[in-house]
Amino acid sequence: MVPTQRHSYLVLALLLFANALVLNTAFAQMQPKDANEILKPVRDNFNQIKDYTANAHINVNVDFVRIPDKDATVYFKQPDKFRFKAEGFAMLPKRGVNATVMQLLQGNYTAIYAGSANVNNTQTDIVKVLPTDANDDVILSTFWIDAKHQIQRVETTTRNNGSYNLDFNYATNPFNLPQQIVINFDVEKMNIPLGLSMDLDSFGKKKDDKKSTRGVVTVTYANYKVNTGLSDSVFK
Amino acid sequence: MTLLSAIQLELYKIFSRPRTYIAFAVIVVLVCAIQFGVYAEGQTMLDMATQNLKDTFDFSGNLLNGYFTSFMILNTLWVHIPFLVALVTGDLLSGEAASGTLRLLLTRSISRTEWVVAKFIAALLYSIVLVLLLGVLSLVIGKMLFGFGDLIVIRNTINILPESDVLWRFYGAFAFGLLAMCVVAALSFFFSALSDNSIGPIVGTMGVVIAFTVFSTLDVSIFHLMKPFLFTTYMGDWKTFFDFQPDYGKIFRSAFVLLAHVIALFLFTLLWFRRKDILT
Repeated sequence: MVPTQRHSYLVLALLLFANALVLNTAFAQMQPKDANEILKPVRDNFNQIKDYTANAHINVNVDFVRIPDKDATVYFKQPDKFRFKAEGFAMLPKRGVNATVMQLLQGNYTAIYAGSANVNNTQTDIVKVLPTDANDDVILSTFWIDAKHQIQRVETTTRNNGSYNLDFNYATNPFNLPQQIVINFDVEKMNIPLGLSMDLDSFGKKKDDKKSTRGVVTVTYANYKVNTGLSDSVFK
Repeated sequence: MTLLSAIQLELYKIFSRPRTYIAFAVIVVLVCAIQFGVYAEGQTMLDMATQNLKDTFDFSGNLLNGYFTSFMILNTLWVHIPFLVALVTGDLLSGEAASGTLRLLLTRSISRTEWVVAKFIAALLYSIVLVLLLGVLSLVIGKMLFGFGDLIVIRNTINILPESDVLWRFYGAFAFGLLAMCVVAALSFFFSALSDNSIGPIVGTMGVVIAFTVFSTLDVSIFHLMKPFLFTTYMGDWKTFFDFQPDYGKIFRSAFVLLAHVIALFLFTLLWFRRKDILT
């Protein structure tokens, strides 16, 4: 073979190899990711947390409730113990704040990869989680998880309690614990009997016909203390 | 006789009559009954009122406290306190006529004007003492039974007022309620000047208060024109102190209207009584 011809074959072979490499990579990217592989590090990270205590600043924004911002102390212990204490009266949504989201991932479910999206200026993978337990109140939960295995957003639809969304913000807290959670949820409007409210000013006035409204609660955390060996007596 | 000694004399007459102590006894019984009733069943009432919220929220802290019971007691102000005020103040002038002491009293070295002013001031002082008793008793017993805490005010919205931000609201509300009861006292005092027996002014005052309250409260279009002219429309504005952000403009306007009613009713009473022929 003439040297120039050898060179030509070599270049062609190199070109074909490079092409194959590029095509292989592109093809690999087009394949759907394994949803369980995306959820696993999130779940493993959470399982490292045996308990935590944190200061929480609570802002409640619900149509028919006026309450000032409150400071509370929140306590959590695996698997599902949650308590919060404040000076005076405080309220927190039942869903979203007390690790109900992570409890969903501890149960039995089917996870489906549903693409990727940019959320909170972060590229995330979308995973849809369907509990397999027919008695579970959750019908469907959608997770947006970033490359650091942090949950950026959750949207959940339930059978009996409407739907709720959680948006997470992170700082440098241990075990990917959030700096802030914004919970957006359905809440039923209250129809307060006159005998309880004694509000004669509203007697005979037409009331709003809407049965439910949306509420937003923002909880900002600080001073996490993780795995300190919290006693069960804290939750009584 | 000076005006001051006339006032002292009228106060002595008011507080030496058994009828006066009926009002105080009713206040004590009512406040205690409501407080103990709430002590027994209050948590159930609160749970009922907040049930929908409890489906969505976890609560921390106790809303059943002395401020809540005191607020409930204040809500009853519109119905029983006006009667207890009119019970005494409606008798101040007509009672003298009915007992035949009017002529004798007016022969003393005090003008009719001073005499009416003395009685009117005594009537207002009695109303003040009554409302103060209500306020002090409800807050003190509430504190003893329940302690204090954040206040839940359930109206069209649910307002949760922090404990540190509540007491001044009660001071304002009781002061406003006091002014409202002064209007009732002035009205019954005016009716008392028109009558020679006590039943008429007392029943008449209650009739007016109840009727005006109905007209003020019902959201019926034919009553809308009347509402701005009825003092009962403004009497309930003590509740504005318990709004999350009180509307001070509304409070001052209502207070001004009530004060104007007190002054106007007193002046009508004075004008009438100065010209009245004493025939009894």
